[in-house]
Amino acid sequence: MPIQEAEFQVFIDAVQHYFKQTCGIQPEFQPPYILDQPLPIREFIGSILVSGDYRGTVHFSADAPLLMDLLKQLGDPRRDSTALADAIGEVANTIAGNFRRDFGSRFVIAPPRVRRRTDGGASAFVPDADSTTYVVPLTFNGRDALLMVEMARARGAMRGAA
Amino acid sequence: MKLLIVDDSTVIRHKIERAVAGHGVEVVGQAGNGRDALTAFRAANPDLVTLDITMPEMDGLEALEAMLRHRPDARVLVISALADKATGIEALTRGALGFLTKPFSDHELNDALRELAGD
Repeated sequence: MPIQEAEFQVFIDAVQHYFKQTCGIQPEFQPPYILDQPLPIREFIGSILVSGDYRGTVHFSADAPLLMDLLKQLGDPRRDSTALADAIGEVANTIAGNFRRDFGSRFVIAPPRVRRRTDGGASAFVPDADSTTYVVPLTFNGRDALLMVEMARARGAMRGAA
Repeated sequence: MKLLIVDDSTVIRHKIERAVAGHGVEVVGQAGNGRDALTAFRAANPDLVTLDITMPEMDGLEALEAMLRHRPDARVLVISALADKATGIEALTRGALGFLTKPFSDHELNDALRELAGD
């Protein structure tokens, strides 16, 4: 069954907390929505597979300039593509891990997988008939990014069940 | 104090390395998964360890138990994005002496390490 739209707030809070705590800068959010048509991904995408009481994937997608800004804020002098890929993986991992504050310890996450759009593969997210994809568009330091949560509760699972 | 940093993210490893600089901590090793962490732990014999949980090869909680089998007095601070209370309790139950949730500030990290070192 799809997760409830009210849980959108959980996603927004986690993103807000990440950027505020890491950089001291609040991101701005555009109205979130449920994906109903293909959505172009940005240059880098970090994806976290979810299992346990939930099934799905948490994605964070951003272009190189945002990730460079983030590394700068972190005091990290690196700007190469390996560092940018690592940065987007860590953003996705931290945001997804923080969801456990609300979803409980049976929201199980895997280590991040990172892909660059130029690596090939799909260049857009396509809605999946079997799950709901929540999209949270945001702007950090004037740079656009996307949080996408493609997730459903496993049958018989209760929210926050430990 | 000698510190071993274990996290699969180089961004986090660099952040920790920078944060502890000038705080009486010498970084003696780094590892990106639990298996490499055990090798580094045996080789470097650190006073303190920062240890992530969600990592490839071997997760941090398995590595924690192996470190404690090797050296029961190991002082380990688990640092994880897994923000639920149950994870923190599990880390402490398995023998970690501290638990810090990502994202964390330099100040929070140094406070936690000072507490771990018994200062």
